[in-house]
Amino acid sequence: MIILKFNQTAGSTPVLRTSISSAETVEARLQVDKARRQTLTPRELAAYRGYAGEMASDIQQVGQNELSAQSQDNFDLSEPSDPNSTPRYEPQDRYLPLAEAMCSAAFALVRRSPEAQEAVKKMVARILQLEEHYTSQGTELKIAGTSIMKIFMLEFAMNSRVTDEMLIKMASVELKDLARTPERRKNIEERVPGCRELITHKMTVALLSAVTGIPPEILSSHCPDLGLSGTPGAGLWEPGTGYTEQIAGGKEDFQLANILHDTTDFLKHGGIDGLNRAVWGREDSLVSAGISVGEAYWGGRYD
Amino acid sequence: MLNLTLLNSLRDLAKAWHGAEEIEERIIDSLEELQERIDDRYAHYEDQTPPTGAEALRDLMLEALRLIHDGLEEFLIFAEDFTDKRLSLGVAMVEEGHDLMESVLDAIGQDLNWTSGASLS
Repeated sequence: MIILKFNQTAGSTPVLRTSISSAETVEARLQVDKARRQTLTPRELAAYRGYAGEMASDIQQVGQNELSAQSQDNFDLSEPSDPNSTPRYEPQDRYLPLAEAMCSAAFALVRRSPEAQEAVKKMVARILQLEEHYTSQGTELKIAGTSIMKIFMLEFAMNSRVTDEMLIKMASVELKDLARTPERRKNIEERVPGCRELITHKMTVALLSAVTGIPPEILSSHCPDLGLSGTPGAGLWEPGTGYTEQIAGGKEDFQLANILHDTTDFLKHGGIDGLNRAVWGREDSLVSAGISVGEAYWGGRYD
Repeated sequence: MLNLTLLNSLRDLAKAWHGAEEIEERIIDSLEELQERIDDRYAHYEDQTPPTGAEALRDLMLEALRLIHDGLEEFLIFAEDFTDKRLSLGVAMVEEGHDLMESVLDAIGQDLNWTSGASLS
């Protein structure tokens, strides 16, 4: 195809110039990029991913030609809401093209219904959004190279024991089924000062937020024990710092095990029956927690 | 698949304006607003150094935005001189920009290896 362009200045007559941009040339240029990407480090790939995601979003927006002012809701709700109502957020549009591409790879491995695919796509888009949100605040949602995206993909999206029904139902989990009472929240934060700043808390909150659509700030304030080892009724401590855990070593394995188990167990209490069994092999909260600690003790599941 | 709203609306506009001798001010305002938005995105990508592996994507994106900008400019100039051929030229430019954007979008969407590799690291 031949492109005709005009170089113009205000008030001047357009001057014709030509440039040639054939389909073959475009493809060749894209292939050069693709070849370069084969040798990128994970950090470089992440930078590319963010850049390409933004570009895909911009392209969609240009194509849509929205002439009215566009506004996109974020999940930043500063005031904790009534636990009897469940606020939810939709992922921003700009994360959807990349989420769709990533999900295509997952769905090639595990067959999902159209409804489940749509649910998973939104979850992945929320994770991308949350990763960017936390990164902008100086927190990388990653422990020992394991990101919440990796956890979600391996344990939920690509885990055939996690059914389509479970995935779809996650977006209906009610805050009241997860939230601690105000007294309990206060008690937890007094017993483990700074618990909401722990990386395990932030990663658990982000993962739970991505699958339920409940804003992270809401989850964090209503469930400050997310990402802590133990239970509010018994002992509570930062994962990896308990007596047995220190003897075993490998703090990161205990942290990752805790993030995943808190997520599945909170969802179990939110009505997702069978999720603990699908991920840990046993449905009971205590038994599955024991399995998660045992796995971490022997080296964790992401090594 | 890239949304065709922009392209189709300009095609419709070209038909509606063909032979026109008077143009509604609000449509000009809308075109100028859209052109500003395109310019903003152009400046955004022009000012940024692309990450490794995105150089061609960035260049093609700039080329596409430039074509759409120029296509819109043809419509705006038509509103002053009422030369019909500007309308078909404007549509052709926007079509070309649209094609380039679609190529970029396809490349982003189809390149699954890097996406899974990056996210699962």
